Amino acid sequence: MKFYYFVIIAIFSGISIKAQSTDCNLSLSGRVTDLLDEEPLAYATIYIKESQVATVCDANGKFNFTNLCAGYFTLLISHVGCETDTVFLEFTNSQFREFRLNHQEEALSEIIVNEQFNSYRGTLTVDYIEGKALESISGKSLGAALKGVTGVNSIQTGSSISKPVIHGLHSNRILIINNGVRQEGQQWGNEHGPEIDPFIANKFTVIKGAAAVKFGSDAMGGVIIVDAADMPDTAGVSAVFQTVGISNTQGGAIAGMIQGKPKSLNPFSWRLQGSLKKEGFVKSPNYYLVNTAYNESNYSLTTAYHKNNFSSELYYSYFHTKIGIFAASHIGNLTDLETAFAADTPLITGGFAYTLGRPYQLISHYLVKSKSTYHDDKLGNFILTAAWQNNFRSEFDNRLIIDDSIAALNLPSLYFEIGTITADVEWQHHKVNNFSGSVGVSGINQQNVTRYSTFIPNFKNYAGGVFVLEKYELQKWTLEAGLRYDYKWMQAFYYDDNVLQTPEHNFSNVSWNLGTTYFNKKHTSFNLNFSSAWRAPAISELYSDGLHHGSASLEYGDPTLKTERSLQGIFGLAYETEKTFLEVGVYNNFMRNFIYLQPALPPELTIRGAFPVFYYKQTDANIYGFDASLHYQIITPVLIEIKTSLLRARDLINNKWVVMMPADKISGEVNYKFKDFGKFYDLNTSVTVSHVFKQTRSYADEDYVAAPEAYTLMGLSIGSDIQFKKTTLAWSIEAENLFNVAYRDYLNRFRYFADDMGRNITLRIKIPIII
Amino acid sequence: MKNSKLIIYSLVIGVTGMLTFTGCKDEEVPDIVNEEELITTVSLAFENTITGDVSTFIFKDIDGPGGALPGQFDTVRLAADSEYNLTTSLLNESVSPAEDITAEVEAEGVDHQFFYTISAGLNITITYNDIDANGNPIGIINSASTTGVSSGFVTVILKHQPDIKDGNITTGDTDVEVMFVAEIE
Repeated sequence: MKFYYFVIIAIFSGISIKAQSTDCNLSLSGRVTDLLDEEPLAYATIYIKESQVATVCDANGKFNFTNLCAGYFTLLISHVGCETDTVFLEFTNSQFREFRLNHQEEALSEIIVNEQFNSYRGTLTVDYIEGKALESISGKSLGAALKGVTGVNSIQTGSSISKPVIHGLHSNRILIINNGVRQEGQQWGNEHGPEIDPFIANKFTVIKGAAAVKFGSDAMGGVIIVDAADMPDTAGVSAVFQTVGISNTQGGAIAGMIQGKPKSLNPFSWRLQGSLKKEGFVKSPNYYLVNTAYNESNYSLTTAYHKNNFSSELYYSYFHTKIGIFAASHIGNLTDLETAFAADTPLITGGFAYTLGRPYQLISHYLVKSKSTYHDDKLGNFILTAAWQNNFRSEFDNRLIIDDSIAALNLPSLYFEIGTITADVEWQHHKVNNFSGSVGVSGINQQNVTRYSTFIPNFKNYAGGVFVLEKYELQKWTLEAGLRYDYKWMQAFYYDDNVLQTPEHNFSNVSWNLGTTYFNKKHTSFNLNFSSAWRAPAISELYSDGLHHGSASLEYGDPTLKTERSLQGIFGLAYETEKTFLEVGVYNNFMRNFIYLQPALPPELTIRGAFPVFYYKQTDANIYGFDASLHYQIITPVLIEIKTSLLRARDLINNKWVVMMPADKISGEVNYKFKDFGKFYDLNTSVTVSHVFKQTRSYADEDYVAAPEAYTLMGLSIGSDIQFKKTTLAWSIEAENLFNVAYRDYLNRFRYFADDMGRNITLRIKIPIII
Repeated sequence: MKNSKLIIYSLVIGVTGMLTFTGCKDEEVPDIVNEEELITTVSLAFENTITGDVSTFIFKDIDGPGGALPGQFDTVRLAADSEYNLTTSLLNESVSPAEDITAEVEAEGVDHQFFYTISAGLNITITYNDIDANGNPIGIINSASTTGVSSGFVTVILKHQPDIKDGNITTGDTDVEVMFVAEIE
């Protein structure tokens, strides 16, 4: 691969650049202010990464560094309630700078944990991935990227399609907020991955548990927030270039971002971002998974305007991917499936290639968003977000009998087009007598068109919601309460015996949330939250009708399904000392009218043989679990981290386990941090071991193949920053499944047919540039 | 204060406007889907080589997999100790006029093969009587011979084996698989 040579040359040519003598008596002073109201931010912290020095602003937001050497600096500026801002600075002479932080983030970011200690400050249980942690997962799909968070798993169709699972819930029960807009595609399908380019993100926020008051019904299992970096607020142009090389699939990704704020057009700033990804066949330890090639291309464009009390942003993004589906997994009928299941190795094997034949998926997602914020000194912030998105999904199956015509060859077997318009207005009022909070209204309008199949019908829906969320803060305690009302109207269009049917559905209900946090600066904090959320049955659950290509099963919806409701409690505890950080979370989620697919006997007789039949049914379920993580600094350079997630899900009416739930897992990591030398900073290496238990809470007679055995994987990684004259390069090399273990994961649908990915070595490089 | 009221009003009007006017494309009425290449009917025509009598046994599921149950599912009834010419045909009767799928299978003969599996104890043997461009059997035209009175099942399987046709019943995808009850009387 040419790509690797480039990367290797890039590294070594970088190392050979020699240190140059510098002036070390410079000072950097300045002020940190609020982006919107320009008020000074007292006690903001500023950290110069390259010099490893930090300072805290005084009560007037002023700071001063002395005895600095000239160089290229990465400044991390943080303040409670703000997003940490990263500023690149070419520092050649003593100077005074003003930095503006975006202090008026959405209500949720007020529930910000102290970055340093990662303690709970909000009543929801929240995890963040940003900075180095984000760099270390670049190139992975969204689902795979979040797997490291305790309580989060992914449901996979091979390694290229993966959907996040939070506390056992996924798809229609999880909300993904992409740049402030709820992502709307064909979320109902297990093999429909989120249409988001992870390279856009500057930060992932994972809310574990319902956050329906703020984000709307559907957010009953959790929310994943994908945020881009704040727009630049100092004049100049900067860029970031990232590259990822992946050994297993002989592929990789390149991503770039360039942004600027022209001096001549002062209130305006702009950003252009894009990424390309290409991967060949996945190699399991003993064979290639034929036709698992994959490519993706994405770009986005942002322009922002900010003057005085008003800021506005226009954002456009395009996501496009073509994903090959493992040839041996896409099979005619039950007899074929059983033959495939019985085989130790896939029925179709072959050598490596990048070719992408049938079956495959072709997906495009367009998003246009505008967000405007007005800050009023007395009243607070008014935020209007409006977005339009269109999602096109074509699925090309193996065809039955080859029709020779080119037109027929290029037709998908299944095609969905869904257009969504969302609009949200929110008022965040200033703190009055220890009360802070927000009030909001949101609306959504959606239309779906299905072609070449009747698996799900055409439909349109209108939905709206109104909420109020208030927080009362005392010194160590915070109380939070929220209430929301949502209404949804939906109409489906389909033919029954050539007669058009147009049934209508109405759903409306209330969500609420009640929580408290105790925060003791010294050692302990805890959060306790009770919430209730609901969701209307998804279109697939109401109207699925017929053969689900890809899973070789007949699935039937039920138009009489009722609203699904969740009542959950979550308790989190954090304890920290100088060397230890322990975080424990327990949760219980009672779900009334939990919708699931129930297998039915006998298999249905068709011309293609017998097919298993599934009906959408409702039951009451209880999902409960435990997440824990422990960081312990044994000696200064050695950090140990242990994480575990356990989950149980009971069907209370049928008195059995709910299947397709994540197996228990435990993982450990030992990290060694080297002393900085030469141009190498933050050089560290780590060894990881993760063990996934066998999912024993499953039923062999209700599944095609019994749950796979437990497995243990080892990983190894090393990485550092390298400071060059004009930039600081970050690099890392990560080996996953180091010993090339052949294993199958319960939540990966390909487990029926083949082993999971074998050893994979990933090289990542990130270079920020100031132009 | 005045300013902020103005802002609130314009926000509310903006949102209402967006949701009202940008409304739906008028595409809600779905296309009538004719599932491409649907096979609705399998027919086995047994021609007695001596009498010339033809007995045809049919499996028919007019709306394809799912939906209504198969409308016709005959039991194969043949005379003992007889010789037959067996012609298998496939039809798509969900469209009018009915489409002959057999011709397509024949045209793509190098990628397809019919297999006939006989349950233990059923006294019938079926042998291929046709070949594709590569000289391998397709299984549209066959001969069948029966011996003693018996009963069991004859399963007709059509395999799609693009570039991998190897005479093996486990290779490739199954296009058709119908298990007929058979009586030799």
